[in-house]
Amino acid sequence: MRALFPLFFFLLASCGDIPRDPDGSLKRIRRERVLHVGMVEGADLQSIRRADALIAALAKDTGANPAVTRDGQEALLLRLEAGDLDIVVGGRFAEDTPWKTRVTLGPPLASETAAASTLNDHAVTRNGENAWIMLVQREARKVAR
Amino acid sequence: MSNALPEALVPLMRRAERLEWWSIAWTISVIAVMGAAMGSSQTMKTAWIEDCLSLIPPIVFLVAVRVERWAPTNRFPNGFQRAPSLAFAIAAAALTALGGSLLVNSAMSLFAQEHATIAAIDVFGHELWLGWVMVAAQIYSIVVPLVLGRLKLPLARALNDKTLFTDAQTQKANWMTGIAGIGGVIGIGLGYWWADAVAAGIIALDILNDGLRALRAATAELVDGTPRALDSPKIAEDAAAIDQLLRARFPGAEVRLRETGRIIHAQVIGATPPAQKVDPATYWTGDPERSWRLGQISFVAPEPFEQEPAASASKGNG
Repeated sequence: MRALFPLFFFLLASCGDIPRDPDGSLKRIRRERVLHVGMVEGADLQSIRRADALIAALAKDTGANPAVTRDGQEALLLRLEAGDLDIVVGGRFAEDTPWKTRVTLGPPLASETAAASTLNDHAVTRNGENAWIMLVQREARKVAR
Repeated sequence: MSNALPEALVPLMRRAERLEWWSIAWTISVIAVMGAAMGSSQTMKTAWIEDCLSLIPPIVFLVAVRVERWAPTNRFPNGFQRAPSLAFAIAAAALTALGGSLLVNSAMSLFAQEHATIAAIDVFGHELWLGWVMVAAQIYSIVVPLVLGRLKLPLARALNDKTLFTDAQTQKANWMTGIAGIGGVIGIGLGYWWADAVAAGIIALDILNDGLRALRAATAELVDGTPRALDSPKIAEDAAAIDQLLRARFPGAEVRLRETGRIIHAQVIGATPPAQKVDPATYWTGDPERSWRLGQISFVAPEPFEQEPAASASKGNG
C-alpha cells in the first residue's frame, strides 16, 4: 500500500489538465476539425432546432465542422458506443431508460409528459470522455435556458 | 461467576462506549458526504459501501456491552458473554462475503472496460469537475476514521476487547483505501479509465481483508480455542503465563484455557482441587491490575475421586 504514495503524488503533480478523455475525443475533434454528429431521424422541429443550436455552439467552441449522420435512435447510440460518433442529438428518453448506464445523457434540453410518463430530449455522449462531456453539458445547459 | 464488568474497567468501558457513539455519528457524516459526491464511479461506490460497513463494529460493540451484562438465566446458566462473539462472527462473515463480491464486481468492470463518467457540477455559478468534490469527500473519509482508530486502540488493549480492537485496526487502516480512492478518481481525471476499477478492486481487497481478520478473531473464541493475542493469531502472552503456572503447580494435570469475551477460564484436568476456595487472582502472574482477566479456574479430579464419587466432577473456584 505504501507504494501508492509516489503514484498518488505523481497523479497530483499532473492535475493541471483535468479531466482528460481516455480516448481523446475533445483533442481529436479540435485537431481534426471534424465533429461526428448522429441526428435521430424523425425528431420533431423543436428538437431539431435545439440540436442545431447545440451543434453550432460546439462547432464554434472546437473550431470543427459537423459531419452529420442520420439514422434511428438505437442504431446511432450503438455507433456512439463503438466510438464512430462523438455525439447523438434529437433523441428522446424515458427517465428510466436502460441506456442511462451505457452512454452519458446530457442535461435535458426539453421535457414532454405524455401518458403519465416523461420523455426528455438529451444530447448523448460516450461514457468516460469527461472533458468532452463537460463541454457538451456546459453548452447543453445554455441551449436549455 | 458474576457477569459484572471488573470494577477497574468500568470507566474505560464508559469511555469506549462514548467513543463508539461518536464513531457512529461521524461515520454517518462520512457516509452522507461520500454518498452526495458518489456519481457513477465504481471507486466511490465501493468506498461508500466500505464506509457503510464500518458502522457494523461500533454497533456490534454497543449491543455486545449491553448483552454481556445480562444476568445468567436457567436456560443460559453460563451467561451471555459469548453472544457478542457470535454477533461479531456473523458480521465478519458478511464483511468477507461482501468484500469478495465487490472484488468480483471490480474485476468485471475492468474486464468490460467500463469508462466512468465524472462530469461537472455547478457551484455558485462556477463549473467544477465533480472529481474534485469526490477527492475532498475522500479526504474527509480518511481523517475521521484515522483519528477515531487512534483513540480506540489503547482502550481496546486495556479492555482486551476484540470487537473494539478490530474496529480500531479497521479504521486505522482506512487511510490506505482513502489514498487508493483518491488515486482512482484522479486517475480517471487524467484519462486512465482503468484507474476506477483498479482502485475499487484495492478497496474491495481491503474489505475482504478486514472481514477475514475479524472472522479469525471471532472463530478462535467460538471454538473454545486457547485465548489469542489481540493483534495476532498467536496465543495471548497472559494465557501462556497462566498455562505455565498451572502446569507447574499441578504436575501431570492437563490444563485447558478458553476465553469468553474478555475473561479467561482455566480448567485443570486430573488434579485434586485445593481444599480451600482460592481466588483466581492468585494464579495470575502478570500486572496485578489486569488480574480480572482470569475469571475462573475449575478442576476435574483424577479418578477415582474418593471425597465425592457421585458428585459433579468440576469445582469452580472463581
